Amino acid sequence: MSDFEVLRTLSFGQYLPTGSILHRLDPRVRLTGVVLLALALMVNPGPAVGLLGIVLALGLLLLARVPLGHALRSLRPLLPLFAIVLALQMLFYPHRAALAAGSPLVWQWGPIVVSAASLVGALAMMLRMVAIVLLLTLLTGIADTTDLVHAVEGMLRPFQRLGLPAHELALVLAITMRFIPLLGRELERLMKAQAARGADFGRGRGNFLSRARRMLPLLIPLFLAALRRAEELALAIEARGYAGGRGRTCLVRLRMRPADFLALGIALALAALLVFLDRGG
Amino acid sequence: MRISVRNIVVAGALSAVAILLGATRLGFIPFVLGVSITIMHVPVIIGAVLEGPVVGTIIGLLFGLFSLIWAHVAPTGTGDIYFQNPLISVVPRLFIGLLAYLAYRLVKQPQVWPSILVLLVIIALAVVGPVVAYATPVLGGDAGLQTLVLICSLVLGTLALAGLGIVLWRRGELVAVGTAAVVGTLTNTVLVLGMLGLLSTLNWVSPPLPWEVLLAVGLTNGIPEIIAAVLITVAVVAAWKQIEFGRRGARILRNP
Repeated sequence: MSDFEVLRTLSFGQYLPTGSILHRLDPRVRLTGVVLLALALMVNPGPAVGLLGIVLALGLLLLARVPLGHALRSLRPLLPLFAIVLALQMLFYPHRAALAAGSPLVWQWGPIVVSAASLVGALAMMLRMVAIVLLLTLLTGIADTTDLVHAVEGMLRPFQRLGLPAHELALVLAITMRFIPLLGRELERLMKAQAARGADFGRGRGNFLSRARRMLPLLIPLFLAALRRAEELALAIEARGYAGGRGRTCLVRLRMRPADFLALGIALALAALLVFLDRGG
Repeated sequence: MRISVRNIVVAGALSAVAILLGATRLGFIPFVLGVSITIMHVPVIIGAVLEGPVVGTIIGLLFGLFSLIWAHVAPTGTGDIYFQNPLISVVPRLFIGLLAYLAYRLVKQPQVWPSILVLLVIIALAVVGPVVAYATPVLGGDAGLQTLVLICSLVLGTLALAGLGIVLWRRGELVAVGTAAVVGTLTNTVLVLGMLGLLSTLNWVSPPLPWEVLLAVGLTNGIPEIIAAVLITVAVVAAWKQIEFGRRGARILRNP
């Protein structure tokens, strides 16, 4: 029966309203800060950076009063990937070039050589992934979807002058996040309905084409349900006189306080530190 | 840029479908040898066909961002290591909607002579390319590059020939939708793998993948992905616009 529990696969992270210092920051600062740190981790491949990133993320999680057990549980899906990272590094890493550059040889079996540099690379990647997942858990812990949508809209607003429809993009994001659980439930119903009629999705025998065709009774109703709901929602929005972002006022006005600027400055400094630390790695 | 309420809502709904397909693994159809092909980009194509290039690009952006985040928090396979790089997971996806829409318009309301001219130029390039690669010393006799040019020319030439056939043959709505699905899928496959190859040559991804591996992945995944994408896109758009095609009526009536 677990095959039909679509909604369970959709949850990542959880908003934890602990009212910590981080929760009280401007939502734009919360989003920008975490995204800056994550981007810095993606840019710099060194292993020391990954380690520092993990320490930073754990520190921030403590500061946000997110239980560490909750954060560490989010790391579980990463475990099988570590084996793949290791295998890929061994297969495709340019070992001979690394050895020629002075990296010590770790293991040799016939034509297969494994250089120390490849293992350092694999370790760095794993550390970086752990750090980024911890940061994302932090973000979902300190910002709920409303915060995120407000933050995205606020951050895109400067680009409005260039013709970017900031408010509309934020609304798309809000609708997407609202539609995911809705369509998830719809999909669950469709799967059960088709299974009751003897359908068998993706698994089972048959060549690729017949397997793809067997997905159609599930995919077409799913797409049509999405489009039909979209149509209804568009009508409902227009019926209420919505006219886009121009001249629209908000109940909650975001204003940056000194503490927000300070936090943003700290996030920038930390991101810069991560980018420029240990560039050689 | 003007976006209507309808555009906003359809973009949101189809982005949700793309994310749902990814998170539930329904968007991955098992193919040979444990390799899965993806149909996660189909909502982007459908959005581009139904609502235009802006909606297609927005869905592509959200789909790309989602695959970037998912590659970190719930990785499942080899590819996810590379999709952790936003240059690979986000940037190529921005172009699926635009190119799929252009293909759709081109077939639906063809500017016949210009498109025939462009396709003929592509076919000519596909013929001249391999000749130059093999008969002249431009590539310095590098066998790998020569094979690459040959295969690219073959693929491009076949597609241009098919396009020529479509333009000259008929301009039905569903032919246009099918062409959009082919072009959109090709954009996804070629740009993602091309970006991966480019970053590998620059040594920006670890471990770097050689072009030969990428080419093999492109051919083994690309072709079934195109077939699956056409199948689903055409079926969904036909059902939504209530266009009849194929076998009409119930099968049982045909066999008295």
